[in-house]
Amino acid sequence: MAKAASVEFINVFKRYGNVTAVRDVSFKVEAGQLVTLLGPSGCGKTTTLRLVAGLELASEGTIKIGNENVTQLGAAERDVSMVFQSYALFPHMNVLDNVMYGPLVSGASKKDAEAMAIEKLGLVGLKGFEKRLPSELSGGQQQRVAVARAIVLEPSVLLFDEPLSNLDAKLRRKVRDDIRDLQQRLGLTVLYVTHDQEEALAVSDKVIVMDNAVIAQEGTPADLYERPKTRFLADFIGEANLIDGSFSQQAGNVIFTASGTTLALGAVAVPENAKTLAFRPDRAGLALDAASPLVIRRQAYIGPSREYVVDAPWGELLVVRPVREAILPNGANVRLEIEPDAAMVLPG
Amino acid sequence: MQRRQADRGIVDLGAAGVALVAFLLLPFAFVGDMRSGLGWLMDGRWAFLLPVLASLVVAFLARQGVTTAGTRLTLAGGGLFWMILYGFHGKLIDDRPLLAHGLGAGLIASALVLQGTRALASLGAFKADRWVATTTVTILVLVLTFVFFPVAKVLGSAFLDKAGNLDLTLFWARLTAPDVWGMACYYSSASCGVVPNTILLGVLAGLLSTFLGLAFALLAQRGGLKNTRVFDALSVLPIITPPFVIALALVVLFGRTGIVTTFLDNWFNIPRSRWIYGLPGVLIAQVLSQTPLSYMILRGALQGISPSLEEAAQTLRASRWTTFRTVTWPLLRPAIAASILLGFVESLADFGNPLVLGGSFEVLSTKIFFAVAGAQHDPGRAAILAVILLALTLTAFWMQLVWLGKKSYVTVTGKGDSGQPLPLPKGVRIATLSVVVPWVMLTLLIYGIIVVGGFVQDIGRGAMKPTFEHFQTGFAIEWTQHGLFLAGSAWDSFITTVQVSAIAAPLTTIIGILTAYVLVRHDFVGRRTFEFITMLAFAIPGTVIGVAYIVAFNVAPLELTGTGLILIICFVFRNMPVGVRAGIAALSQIDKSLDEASTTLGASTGTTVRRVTLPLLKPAIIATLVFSFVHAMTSVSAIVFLVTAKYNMATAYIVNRVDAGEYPLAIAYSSLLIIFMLVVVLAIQIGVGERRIGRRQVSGNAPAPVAVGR
Repeated sequence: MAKAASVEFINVFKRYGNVTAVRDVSFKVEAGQLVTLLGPSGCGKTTTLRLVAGLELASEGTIKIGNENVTQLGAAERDVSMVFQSYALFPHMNVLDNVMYGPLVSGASKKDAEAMAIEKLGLVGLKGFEKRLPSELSGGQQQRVAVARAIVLEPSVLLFDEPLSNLDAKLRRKVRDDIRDLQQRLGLTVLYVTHDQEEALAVSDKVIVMDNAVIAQEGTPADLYERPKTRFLADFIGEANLIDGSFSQQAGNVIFTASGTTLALGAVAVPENAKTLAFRPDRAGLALDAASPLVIRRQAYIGPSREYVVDAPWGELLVVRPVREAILPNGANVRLEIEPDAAMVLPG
Repeated sequence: MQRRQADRGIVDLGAAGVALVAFLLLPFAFVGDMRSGLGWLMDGRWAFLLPVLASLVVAFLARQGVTTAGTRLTLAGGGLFWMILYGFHGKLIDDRPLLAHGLGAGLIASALVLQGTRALASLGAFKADRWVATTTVTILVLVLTFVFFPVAKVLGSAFLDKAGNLDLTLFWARLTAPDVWGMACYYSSASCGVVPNTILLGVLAGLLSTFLGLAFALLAQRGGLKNTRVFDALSVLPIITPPFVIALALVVLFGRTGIVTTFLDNWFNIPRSRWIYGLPGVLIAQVLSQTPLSYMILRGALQGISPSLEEAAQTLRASRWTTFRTVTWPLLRPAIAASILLGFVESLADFGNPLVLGGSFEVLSTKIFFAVAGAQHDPGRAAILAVILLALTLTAFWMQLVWLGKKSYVTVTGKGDSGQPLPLPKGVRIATLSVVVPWVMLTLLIYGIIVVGGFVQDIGRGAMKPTFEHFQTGFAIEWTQHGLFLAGSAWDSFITTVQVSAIAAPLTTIIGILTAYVLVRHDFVGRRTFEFITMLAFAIPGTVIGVAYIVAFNVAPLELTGTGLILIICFVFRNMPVGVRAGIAALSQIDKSLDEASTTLGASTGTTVRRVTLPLLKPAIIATLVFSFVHAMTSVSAIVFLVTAKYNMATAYIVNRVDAGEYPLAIAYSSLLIIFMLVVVLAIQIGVGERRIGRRQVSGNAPAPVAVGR
């Protein structure tokens, strides 16, 4: 599988009548990388994936796979395979026939097709299941058949459309790791669609977050989690406390003011028209302080940590502290201490 | 792996080759002179050359790739247009008589359609999918030729007099004739016009059959009966029963010399009368054959009502009766309206029962028939009546669309519903039982007559001596020195019927299922119109189609009457909507991602259809095969216009026997037909078996066998 290819979108639009599903999207997936398209439902991520597959044709713009312009090619003519959300295993064919299907319809002899299929079934750990029907397999096994069927043609690009959504929570983590492992072992170019941000962070070289038909931000998982560019991103990836207020400088210190209370943030970068302070619930501490207007409303014990819901003048806060710390009583007045570097200053 | 290659024009070249061979060698026409296109060219008909030339040039251009698509489309379209122009108005071009178009012409036209659609796809239409483009346009051309063209021709001929000249006064006189609209029967002893009769009969048949169907459905679904198999068996019978057979049995039972009449006369001194001939008889016959369809519709609707809705009502302290009245009944109403409308439409289209039982009570379908077949032979008058009938039917369909378009409460969510359906309130249960039981008895009695009737001397006159005489007359087989000889008088029509049905059924299935596939799976400009046109064929009563075929296909360029081909074509396009419905129902159950998976693995659309879609559609395909075969075997209304001495059909033969008063032979033949179809249907079911996909049993999505006017 030496021929993994890059995927490039240049100013791509996709319109259905008056609705624009993908608006002016440009990005590049380097060969051999796993890139995730992440976003809430209806954001255009699946449409983008189908544009790569050729199941939809772009209304405008250019799509390149490797160095070839494939914008006008149909799905059958592109060197791309896809693992569908529903797996789309042919229910009237057994496992082997499913995996052999690609080579057969592309003109391979039955013998070659079978050899290729058996090799790939071994790769996904399904040797011995050749004669089973899809309905006689568990969800995880079906998923692996779908992967084997997709990689049997050794495509330049492999696409996954929410591959974990039909699996139960325990299995998800394992299958996720298997997919990442296979991708790295075979050096595949993979484009992966999901709405689960944790899944996206865990498997990707790069994450592209889409919102409302456009790309909201792209970058490494750490980039996105630690340096979100907008309020939407801070909220969408991981949990965040978002407080609207104003920022001022005081002797190299940034001071944040909201509803009459102030917080010292240390030396952080403040962009123009900054309006919102964001921080992760586990990156702030609480200390008893009778003079503070913040009051603990309730708390929940969830195993590794305690969650505190705090009433503040600007609204409600969530703070997560390790269980080993002393418990704070409901109704106590507390002071908020955001860790250094944990404060994220965002434009409106 | 090497992916599929782009189009190199091989198919276009092949098509041109076929067109050339057809032009040089094959007979151009279907009947009459068997010269090929070349032969006619030698005779000075140079116009035949142009389409073939167009096809050859297109094939040459196709080698050059996509850039020539525009030119190719123009050429292929031009060639087709020229064929049509010369076919219909050749006199204007070379002043020679019009010619019938047959095999040669058909192949040349097909080649042009194929080349034109491929060019169209190259231009980006149909999402650049050549296979979809060709399939869609081919179906469209066929439907336009064999449904729209004849119907339009009938509409047109309604305005012509016998000599073929436009005559609006005659049109008006015919349209407003008193025997069409007269209401005299409501205030005098004179009889009413044919339109009031037809509407009265239709409304009564719709209401009564729905009422009975509802009683059956409630009893089967909620009545606490242990075994409802009898109902299901009874509901299959009308499908395999030729439509006039019930009328025959009614005559045998209640006619002037009928069994029941005689019994009543002998024992209770109730005088013999001819009450069965007229509205009562036709109505009973129609309700008998329509009730099972109503039953299936309403039972389906009842099953679709989630029991938890009724349980919710009960937990809110509604009594059984209140729940039925406020929850169950309102949810059922759309299905009831649908059933009434269907009963109305079926009654309008019914031809066999009024023919046998109508007497002086005339309805549109029979009046159309006698206008063509009777002594007066007046196709123009038949056309007017056909137009009225068509208008009535379309109004009913339109009402269905407007009223019921979005009012379906059927709530099948796919989630398990563990609730128990509410049993019937006691009063309702007793009422339904008192309706259902006598009706089941009557049905059994009627089928008993059909079974026994063929084996006794003359059941119509009460002569019950057992005999094989009737089967002897119809189906005798003799050994002669030349081998087996089918001496019976019915063999010819029987064999023709089986042959025609066996050819028509697979064709119907192919066209119907492909139409469904294109409609469900592909989106293209004009898809809604395409859907409307294919479903419209469904709404046209058989009698109208029959008249339309006679009017349209009796003359060049499509001279087909008197051939076996026209029978096949008639069946294919009459029954095609059954396949479309079955296909649409089944396809909407199959996830589109299966097709897409196949495509991303490099399969062309044609390959995907062949290897993925069609295998998954097997139950729908089998259902369509069975239905179209059975419908072809039992159809009367359209076919009585098209049969000839050479190509006679079983049903037409039986109708003639009834006409001649040979009831026993007619009954014997009918029972044989029913048994033959039962055997065929069972054989197909056993031979094919249920589709097995792992542990999951997938039953066929057989549509309710609803076709208008067999």
